[in-house]
Amino acid sequence: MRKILKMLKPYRSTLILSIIFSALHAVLEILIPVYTKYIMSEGIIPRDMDQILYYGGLMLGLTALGALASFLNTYFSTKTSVNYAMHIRNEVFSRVSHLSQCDVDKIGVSSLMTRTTNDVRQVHDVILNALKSILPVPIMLIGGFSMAISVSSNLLKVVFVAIPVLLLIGIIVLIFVSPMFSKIQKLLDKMNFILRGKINGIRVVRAFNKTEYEDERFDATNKKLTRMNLVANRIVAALTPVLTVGMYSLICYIIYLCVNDATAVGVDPQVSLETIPNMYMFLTYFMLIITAIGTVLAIAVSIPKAVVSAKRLNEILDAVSEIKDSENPVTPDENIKGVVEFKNVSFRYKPEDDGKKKSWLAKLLQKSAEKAKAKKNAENNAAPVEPEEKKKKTDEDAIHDISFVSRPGEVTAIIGITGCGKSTLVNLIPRLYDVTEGQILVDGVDVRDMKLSELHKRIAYVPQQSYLFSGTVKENIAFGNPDATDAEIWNAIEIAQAKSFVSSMADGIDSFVSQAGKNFSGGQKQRLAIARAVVKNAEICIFDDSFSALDLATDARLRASLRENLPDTNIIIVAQRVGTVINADRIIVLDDGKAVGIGTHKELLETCEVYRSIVASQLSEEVDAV
Amino acid sequence: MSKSVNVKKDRILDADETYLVSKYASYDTKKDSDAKVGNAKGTAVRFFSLLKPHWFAVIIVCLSSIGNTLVSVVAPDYMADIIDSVQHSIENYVYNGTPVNFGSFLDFDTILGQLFSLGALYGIMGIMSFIQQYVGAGISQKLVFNLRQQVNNKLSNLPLSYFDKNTKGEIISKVVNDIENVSANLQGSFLTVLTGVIQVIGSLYMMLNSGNIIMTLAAIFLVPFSGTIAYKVSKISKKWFSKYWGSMGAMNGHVEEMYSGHSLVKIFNHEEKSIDDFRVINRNIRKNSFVANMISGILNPILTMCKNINYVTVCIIGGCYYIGTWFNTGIAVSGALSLGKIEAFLSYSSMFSAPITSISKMINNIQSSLASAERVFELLDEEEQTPDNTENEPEELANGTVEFKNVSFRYKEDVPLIEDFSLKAEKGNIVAIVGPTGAGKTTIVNLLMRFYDIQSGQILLDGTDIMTMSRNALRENFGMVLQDTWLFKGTIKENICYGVDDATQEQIESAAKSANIHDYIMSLPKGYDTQLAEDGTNISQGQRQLITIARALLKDPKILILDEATSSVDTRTEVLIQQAMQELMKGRTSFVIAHRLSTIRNADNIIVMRKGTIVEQGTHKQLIDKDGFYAMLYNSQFTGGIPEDIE
Repeated sequence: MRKILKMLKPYRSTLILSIIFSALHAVLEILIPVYTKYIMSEGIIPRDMDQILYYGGLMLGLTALGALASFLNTYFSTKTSVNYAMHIRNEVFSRVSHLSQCDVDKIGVSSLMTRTTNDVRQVHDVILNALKSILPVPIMLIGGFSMAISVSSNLLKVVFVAIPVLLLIGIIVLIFVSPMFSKIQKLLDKMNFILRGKINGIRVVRAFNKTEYEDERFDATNKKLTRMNLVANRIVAALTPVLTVGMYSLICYIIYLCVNDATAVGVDPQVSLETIPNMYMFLTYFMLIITAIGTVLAIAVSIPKAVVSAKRLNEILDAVSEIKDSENPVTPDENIKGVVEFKNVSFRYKPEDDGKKKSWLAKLLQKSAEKAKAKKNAENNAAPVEPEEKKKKTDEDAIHDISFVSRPGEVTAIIGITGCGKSTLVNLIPRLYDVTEGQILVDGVDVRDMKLSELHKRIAYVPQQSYLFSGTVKENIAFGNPDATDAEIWNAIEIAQAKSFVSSMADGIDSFVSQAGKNFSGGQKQRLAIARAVVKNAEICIFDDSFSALDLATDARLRASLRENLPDTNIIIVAQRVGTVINADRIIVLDDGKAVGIGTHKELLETCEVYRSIVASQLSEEVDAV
Repeated sequence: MSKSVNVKKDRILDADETYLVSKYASYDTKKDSDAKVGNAKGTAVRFFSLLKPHWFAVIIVCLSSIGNTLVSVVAPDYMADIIDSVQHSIENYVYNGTPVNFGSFLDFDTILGQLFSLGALYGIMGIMSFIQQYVGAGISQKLVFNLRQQVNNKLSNLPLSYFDKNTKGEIISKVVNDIENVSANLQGSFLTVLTGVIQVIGSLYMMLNSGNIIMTLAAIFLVPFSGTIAYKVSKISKKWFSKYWGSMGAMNGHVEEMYSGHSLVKIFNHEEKSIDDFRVINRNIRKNSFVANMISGILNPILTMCKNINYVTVCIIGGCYYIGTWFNTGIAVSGALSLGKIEAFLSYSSMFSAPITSISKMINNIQSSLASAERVFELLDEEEQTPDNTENEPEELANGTVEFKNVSFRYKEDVPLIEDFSLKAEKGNIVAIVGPTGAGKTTIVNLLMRFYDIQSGQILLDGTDIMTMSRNALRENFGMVLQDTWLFKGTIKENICYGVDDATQEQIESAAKSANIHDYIMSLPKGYDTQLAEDGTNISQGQRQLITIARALLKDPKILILDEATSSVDTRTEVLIQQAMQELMKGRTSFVIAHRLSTIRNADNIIVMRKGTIVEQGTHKQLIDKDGFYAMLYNSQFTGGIPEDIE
């Protein structure tokens, strides 16, 4: 929380101004009852018209000033708040942008999004509300108490006893009710979860005649939720009248006290005459103080929520990407273009090895694991398999001792079963992760010694999940090369075998791509993603299982046209299908992170058992047919 | 890093703001909920008709809140009496001056009595407000409970076309967010409006009742003005708030894309550009949020000022009445006012204007909950699937003969899909459906399971028209393994015995063994009691598929529907899946949606679909001999000679 608060620093001038004006406004608000008192005691009761007009005028002036102060307070606090929120969002976004892929995967895109949007709003709302309304509260309290003293010591006693009692009632109820509300939230989540399941699995639910069962589950939760809601709401319902009655009884008592004081033996008649105005003023104050306390309570309730958000934000703000630019970057020799060399590369996912830098992530993981353990309750138990699996993974290398060289104009293919480390292997080249042991050299320089932007300049990449951005087809492809001309873009589209469908669209390359490319089929997305990589015209081109959604024929045509049009590019392909890799200069067969075979299709058929079994499972029947 | 941020701060960001915002317009989630209510009146009327079953409770709430408000309106009058009594006594003492024994001048008993009746009044108020809150909470909770129940039942009875036409996100948001929105605002807004109106009328009545029109005017003359301002300002600020939500939506869009495409952004060196764009959108948010908040923030000072001006006016005019002359002119004022009455007018003045503020703040809430209610009603009004016809309700499970007789079906009236289609599958036959993606292969499944109803012709199960039996009885006969493996949050065991509630552990294990997943399950620390995450995301796609196969095996159906999609599964797991599927098909009538042609060569009947229609039908040999589309499709696997237009 402190860290987030510190980020207010650049806006301290407007913040201070807003606090000053809010205090000023509070003072002016307090003064109005004082002048009401004077208008009565100096004007109305002594029947002095001049005094009435004098104090009336003063009050109007104060009102105008109060409005001005309140306006200025709004102005400065809004200014602070919007700038502050913008600042936090900017910070969070650029931090996340600089995180490594590893960290992004670990926290999860949706969680990162919530942090950038909701958490920021949560935190800044509460902080600013607190700062805005906390200062007026002591002013009100001090003002109220001093008024009480000036009127009668008996009133002071009332204030001292009554306010803590009212506060206590409020706090007790809150302590009692707030766990109920968190239970309600949980039930609500559960109900939403049931519904989501029902909608997502609608075909299965209906096919298995499980509609009634799902309905019963829903009903049960709905009933529980309603019951809980009723209890909580009714307790709150009782609270309001109790507080109202308590407050008004106090008012009656205060009136009684005032009258009693005024009629005590030996009281100066002039003082007695002021009883009504004093009483009136005091009652007004009493109400102001109660309202102020209500505000503080409301803020206090919202603080725990903000603290949770702040913690989540801090996790990001404290995060240091372990993948950083080298301090003394080396630029590769200009004559070497497009050579990738793996030298005894090993890699393991190991949170504990990242030391201090990643302790926040380790903690995060630990926490979630602990939480899962704590909730042994079957319903809420979130996937305990995951930490177990992760543990297993961290025990052993995901990639173990791999060496090979891939040169310009060559095609290197990596094949193996899911989870054997193919994607991990290629993701090490653009430093989405850093190797644990060994080195990767691009153009003769260790990738860790190169500037990231220099390294990335040399690499074009098509990810496993072909992701498109909102915008036009042209924008998406030019993502790879902002200076690309329309002709270059069309050329890339042609190489990627995407011309037929792009040109058949009404707007051609200016056609709209919706969120995540939802208006394109899987195969179309993949081809556009390939065009995006092609247009970059990089020395090294990595395809991470990028042909899976294409039919075999398109796959073959695409690979042929890639080779033909990018003769000097070093192409690295991750694939599942033997057909995709069959013509590669070098096939690396991965099994459980180890290279069990490196060679051409022919060589491997003879030497590599794993490769043979893969080929057998895919090609046998086709071979039969031919 | 901070260094680079500072540098960037000073840089002029030249990306086009409006373009960025419009690009992500579809991300603006808030837009819908703030949109105008199409038929506000109709929705409101319908909404209140939901209250009918609770009419008694509603009347109690109304009566108690009317009572509560009336008492609070009357209270200042009692207070006025007390003040007058006290003042009277004190003045008597001061001006008629008997110095000693002050108490004798003050009619203490009267004042005590008045105090007690005031206290009693407050007591009544408390009880009334308790009843109002207590019963009110009951009504709104029950109402929301029923609404949820209705929506849930509706979802169970909607035809599948509804779920195919609307995105899941949309439906879920309707069910979850909209109902929540309705329930959150329901009680509060309704009571605020009700008590507000009573308070305005009541305090006006009390003021007029005192017979002093001039004082009444003094107390309220600015209220029409402040009311108009409140209305106008909230209108303008609403416009800006919707702009604000628009820019927030744009930010969500940008953030989602950049985070999802994180590795691309990095490798294509787009970090700077992405951060720049974010800053542009962020500045836009700042502007919209500043203007929106400023405009709505102006309202409060203005309203407070109006209230205070009325207050001071009451003080001054009241002073004139108390003294008896108009200011210092000496012109007599007709009718005098006591100090207590002036004080009462002060109370009424604020009572009259307070609801204006609170109702104007409530208008947005009411609108948004009406919009939500309207969307919920829309869902409730969707046409349900045709009711079950149980004319030929079968007594027991079918043997497994399936026949399509001259079946025609189209999703859209003007797009012909399946025309006059006939097919007979004897018990134990394998029917394969092949064709490129999007050819409508799943349509056959949809019709068989009656997810959609055919438009003409008949589908017969063991000779009985499936339209003449209940959907449940029909589906009892089927087992299904879909490409879209659906697992729910629960244990593996629960997921496997989803179709069969009373399955024993042995049965479950033998199903898992046949599905080649038993060994994997046993390798997990908790075995069959391992918890799966929502959608089964904590195990791999292939394992998910195997579990759904085990699920179908356990159900032991006569007829099987298999969607053998294995694109994201590695070869080894695929072999396991193939084996399991072969095991599953033994002795059952099977409909297989095939993606790899090599696996279906021994099917008894192959249906070839293309561009939504059935183009060929026959055995593998027949189709190859025919040398048509199937033959081309089949050969293209090996030669790479498939034509481009196939998609």
